[in-house]
Amino acid sequence: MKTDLRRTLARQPFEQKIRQIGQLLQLSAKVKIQRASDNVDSVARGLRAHKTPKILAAEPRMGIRRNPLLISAIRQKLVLQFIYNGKLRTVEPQTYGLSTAGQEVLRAYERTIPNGSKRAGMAKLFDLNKISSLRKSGQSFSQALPTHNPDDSAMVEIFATLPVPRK
Amino acid sequence: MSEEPPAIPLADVLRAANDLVAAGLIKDYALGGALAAIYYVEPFTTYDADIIFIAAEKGLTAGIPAIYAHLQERGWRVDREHLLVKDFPVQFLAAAGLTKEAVRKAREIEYEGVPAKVFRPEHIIAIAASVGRHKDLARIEQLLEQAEIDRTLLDDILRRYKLQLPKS
Repeated sequence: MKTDLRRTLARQPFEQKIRQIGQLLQLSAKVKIQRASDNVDSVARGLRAHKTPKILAAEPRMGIRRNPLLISAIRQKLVLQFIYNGKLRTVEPQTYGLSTAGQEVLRAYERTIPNGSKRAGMAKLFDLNKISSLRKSGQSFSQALPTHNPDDSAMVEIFATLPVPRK
Repeated sequence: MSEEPPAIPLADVLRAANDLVAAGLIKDYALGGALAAIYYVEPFTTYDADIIFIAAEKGLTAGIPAIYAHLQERGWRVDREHLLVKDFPVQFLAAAGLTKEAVRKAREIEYEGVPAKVFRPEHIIAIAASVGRHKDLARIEQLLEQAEIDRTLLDDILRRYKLQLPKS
């Protein structure tokens, strides 16, 4: 979503915002109930890295279209490159999902050393709207960051995430 | 039991908090957490309300048992660390240090005719910087992008509490 639109939404009266969130909560509850009744909650759980081929095949039929490159990069632990805020970033993707603001986001560790020989710092949250020239770098990585949280609290829905790293 | 959660009964929450002040169970309070941030930024989903209060009692419990008893008498239910009003979870958290300052300096507002206070964006940012979870960092970014921030006040708070904003 464009920054101007987000600022416009921010300037709405507080009462109106609270009503909108209340409606979102009600809608979310309805969707959950519908999903449960259709016995597709297992599909929702499957929208993580360890999906079965059956679930993956079901997604397009359900109208779920996510970025397949991000999902496959997370599943195969592949390093990605893209342009973000005018800079080329080399990242190890950790989690891909929907933010609390309803945006598709990528949690990824940005490599400071191109070959990833030394890791320092935390994974950042990248807004998919701002990502361009996304591609695989040809490198891979071994596991998630030690601080990796598969239930990323910045996301309301997770499409793909790495498993918790080995100690 | 209803299958749908109620809309957020924020006016009831604020009315109850005002009632606690009038009853002398707390000295002052302000709305904090995600709902305070939403006062300044685009709406996003949240599942509870945080009321940060200045305790009337100096003891270790900060008067929380009396607060719970008072609200339970008025129909609120307890569910683990939350009190529920119309099934909506509310957390009452005793203020200290930075959060106490945030309550004292909070902005006075009126919500559906109920007078209330809400943390200033500068304090929300400083509190988020002090906690530092992923969602706090996202909140800082959102506030800096969408809210009108008094940079002098923010810098002063950050300096006094030895805090730093995350590097983007």
